[in-house]
Amino acid sequence: MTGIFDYIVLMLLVSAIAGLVGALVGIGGGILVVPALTLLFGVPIQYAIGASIVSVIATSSGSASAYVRDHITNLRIGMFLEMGSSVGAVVGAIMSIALIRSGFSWTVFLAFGALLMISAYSSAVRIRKERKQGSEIINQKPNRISSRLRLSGDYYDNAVKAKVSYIADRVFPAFGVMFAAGVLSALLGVGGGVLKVVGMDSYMKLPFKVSTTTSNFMIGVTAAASTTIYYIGGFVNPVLAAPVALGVLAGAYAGTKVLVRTKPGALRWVFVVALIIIGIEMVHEGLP
Amino acid sequence: MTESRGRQSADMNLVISNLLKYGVVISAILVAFGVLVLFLKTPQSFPTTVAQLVASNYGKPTLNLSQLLGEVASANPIFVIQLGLIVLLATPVARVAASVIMFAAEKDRLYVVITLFVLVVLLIGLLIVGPMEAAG
Repeated sequence: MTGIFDYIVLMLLVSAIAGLVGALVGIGGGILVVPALTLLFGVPIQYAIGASIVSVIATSSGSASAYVRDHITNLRIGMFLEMGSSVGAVVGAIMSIALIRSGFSWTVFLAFGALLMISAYSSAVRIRKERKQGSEIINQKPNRISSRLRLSGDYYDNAVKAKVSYIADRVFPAFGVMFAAGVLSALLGVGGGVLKVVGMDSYMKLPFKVSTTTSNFMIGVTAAASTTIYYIGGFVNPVLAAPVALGVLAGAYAGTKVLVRTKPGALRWVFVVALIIIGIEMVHEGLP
Repeated sequence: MTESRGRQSADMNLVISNLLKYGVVISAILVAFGVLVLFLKTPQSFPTTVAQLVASNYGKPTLNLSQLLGEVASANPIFVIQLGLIVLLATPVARVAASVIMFAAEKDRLYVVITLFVLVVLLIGLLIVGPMEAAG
């Protein structure tokens, strides 16, 4: 039996960690907030998801404010890909009830779980390659679609002390991954940030910090698409969500300060660990 | 030409960054104030455990704006927090709407269409699919 005020203090701490990690690797912190609420405090899953949406939007708005100001987030890439993720989110919301009714939701979890495990492996391989090469593997070859849509840019990396320029590669597959991220987000009430980072990182071959900060920028919009479902349903409980909002905002603010000082390779390791944990969570959810 | 485009884009970054910042700060102030009031002047009927809270009527959202603002004006902590959360949840929507205007100001027709598309999909999700799913 946790008292309300103990809950508020403890959840402030958990949420601060979620916001910090979220702002570092482009995810919304739902993976930490949801299990903390359900396992530690016995909060029913719908209320946990309601609070998780608050966490995702707080991470997104709280961190993107700094990343957009510092020109690390690529606005055009973010806006363009949001077309895919927002449609995915609406389709996912419509799908979710049908899927749950038909009893096939486990296939979705297993598929996403497998996808994340594969991404963890390929990301780890890339860390090794980049270490050999001594710098990040970034696409700089122009292609027709990215020229037409102006999906390119540069930013000054404070940790590496260099200007990094990039051009988005394989735009169509990345767009498809964003659609999947939107579906995932609606099904689970999270921002789908982990898949967004994978899409920009593996397909577009953007600098890692551009992928994570652009993901941070996007996840708020994706999560916002499903807010009314939970809000009208009464699952965004102000008392449960208050420490989540405050903790995540503080953590995300700290995260933006850490990100600019951290080398991309180190951030990528944090991301690989997050991928493995979320992948295990998904597979666990999908197994009977 | 490229020079001026770069500068305009910098303005856009600043506007969007500030919009998110103010949204987040206003929301945080409201939520923190609500929590503080709740802590200092806990209502007598207030649930003491998380399980009681979930089972109780506390935090049932109101969709009635005048009721919400009335409760906020009388410093009812639950509704002050709720208003703060609404401000937070609205920041991404406001950001997309502002982007449409900013791209229009830059005369970037392609991106006006792209952001307008996102805004329409977002509003369909918020205003049509959401209420439908919540009811069903």
